[in-house]
Amino acid sequence: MTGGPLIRLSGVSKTYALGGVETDVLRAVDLTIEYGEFAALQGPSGSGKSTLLHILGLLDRPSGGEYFLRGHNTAGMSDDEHSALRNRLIGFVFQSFYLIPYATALSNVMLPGLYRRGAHGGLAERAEELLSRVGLKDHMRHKPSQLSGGQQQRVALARALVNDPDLILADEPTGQLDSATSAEIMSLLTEINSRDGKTIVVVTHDDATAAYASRTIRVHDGRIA
Amino acid sequence: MTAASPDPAFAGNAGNGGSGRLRATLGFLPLLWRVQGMALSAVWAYKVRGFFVISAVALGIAVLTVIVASVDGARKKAVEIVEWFGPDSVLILGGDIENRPVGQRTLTLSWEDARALSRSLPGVYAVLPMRAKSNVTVKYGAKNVELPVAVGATENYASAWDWPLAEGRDISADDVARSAKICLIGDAPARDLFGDESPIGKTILVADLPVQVVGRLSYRGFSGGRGDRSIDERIIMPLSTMTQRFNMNRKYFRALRVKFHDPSLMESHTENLRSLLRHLHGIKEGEPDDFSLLTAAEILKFLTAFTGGLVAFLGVTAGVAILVGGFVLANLMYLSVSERKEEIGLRKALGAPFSAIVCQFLSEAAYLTVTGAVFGVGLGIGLGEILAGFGKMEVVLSPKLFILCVLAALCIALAAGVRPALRAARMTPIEALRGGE
Repeated sequence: MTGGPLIRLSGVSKTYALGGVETDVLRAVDLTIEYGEFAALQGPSGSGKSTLLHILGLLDRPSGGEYFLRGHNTAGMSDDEHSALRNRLIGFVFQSFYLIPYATALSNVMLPGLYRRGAHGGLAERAEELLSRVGLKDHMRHKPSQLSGGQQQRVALARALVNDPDLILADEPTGQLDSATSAEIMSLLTEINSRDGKTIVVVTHDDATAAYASRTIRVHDGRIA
Repeated sequence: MTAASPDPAFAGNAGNGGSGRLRATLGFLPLLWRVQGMALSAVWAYKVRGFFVISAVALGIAVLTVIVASVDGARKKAVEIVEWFGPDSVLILGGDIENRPVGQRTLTLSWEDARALSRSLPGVYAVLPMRAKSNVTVKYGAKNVELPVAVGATENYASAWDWPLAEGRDISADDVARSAKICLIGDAPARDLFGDESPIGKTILVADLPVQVVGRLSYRGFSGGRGDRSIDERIIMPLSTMTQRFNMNRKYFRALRVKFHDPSLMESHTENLRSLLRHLHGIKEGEPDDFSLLTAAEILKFLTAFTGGLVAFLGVTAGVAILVGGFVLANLMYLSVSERKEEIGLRKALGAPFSAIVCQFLSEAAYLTVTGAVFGVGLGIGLGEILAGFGKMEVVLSPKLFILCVLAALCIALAAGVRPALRAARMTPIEALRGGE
């Protein structure tokens, strides 16, 4: 393992050109996240917290500054290299679940494993194991439309874990769930952090959700407060 | 901070030169194989719209099948005709069929011509004079048939025309010398007059002349380029019998069949023959021939012109159908890509490389068009059978045909699918995910 933090942002900015007007969404953000942290990114809508999460997840590229993941500068890498890193190192959980509608829960969980470069032994067994762990042992052959919102987000959680990544990024994971279901999802995330030692970054505007995290990062006007 | 120890997660990102790139490319192959499973499940998920693509492609491929099968059929028929006519033969017809002013002689070939040809023309091994009497009524008992032609020929007609006898014997030299009242009967009149009975030894009336049937020609079963008339509708008598009994001109005859040793030299043989005949007939330079030369090659030219029209029509139809199939597919792919933006974004977010997305959408297109091709070949075979049933063309089916159709289908998939597939793969994951919201 390389010494140093999992994530280090140095002077990262992001500028969007909207209708000819340049808008600074992120302004010179410096941020370090250590291995095993459970951090919540909080801030009002439009503060840039989602953009920050996208940059952390290599889904978007910064306009300026540098992003070191496991000590490697990601700026000079190609899109396919970013794809490979997302596949190996990062698990995503989204607000609207993003499951493939025509595939079963099991197939959805297996998907990152199918895109993994290299060996694939035991993928189906691992996916089944993860689905059992999130309490969906009896729903493996169900399509997303046959599952409740909470169940769909559990499938997404299992999917995020299938390639055994270092980092789980969750964008408003409870945004479409009632409070009881939200609590279930957040305690699962807490368990993934404490038991599996995964680093977790959650974007939320909900204080109850942010309370599960051990560190709160406040984003305001494109800056970290 | 420097990368102190090698980090396996970044192993593929070293990117130092050719061998690393090659390993990365080979590493994609199993991934692209796994993408096939994803493509198949997506095709199944969107099966209703897939049905339209399959139908459109099937239609195009069906017409393509008919074209290829009928071209093969025409080729097979051409080979048959060359074999029947004899690739080593030239038929000389008296009078010029292309240029025949009123009152001009049609009987221009004489015994002297025949003798001169067999004596002076290089490469000749047989000169066979022929006459014909057209529209002959043939009777047997109470039955009668109208034949387009009764042929007067010299000895060994069947072997000279490579036309085997089904039963009986050929015309002999003795028959010709004695002007014997015998004949060979074609398959069609034999069937009409005698049914399943053997005609050998029976006496029939040919234009009221009693003639004994000595041989029956085997079935040929094609028209030889003369419309509905079958080549089997004929009887053959000794030439001498025909001229004497039907009181025809004894000095001239209608046609001469000349056979040469070396069929590969037919072109020069034909030219030699033409100049010798022009010399014998005293035709000056610039004047038209008073005879026509017919070779197997020329008969083929006529036939090709006939089937060529049909093939051109079918070709345009197939082209339009395949184009329509391609447009339907291209539109459907664009629809698919914009409708499945969210799915594409998700796949990219989860780590699908550019090539996996392109491969998935192209594979989906290919599965649809190849399925269409399989149905299309089936439909085409059915259509071909119907066309063959009408007797308009002969249809030959082959494995080559199937391979050709599948290749055509893959080309459609590639042509129509590549732009939408590239569009899908070029989307950034975040733009694609936002598009789905």
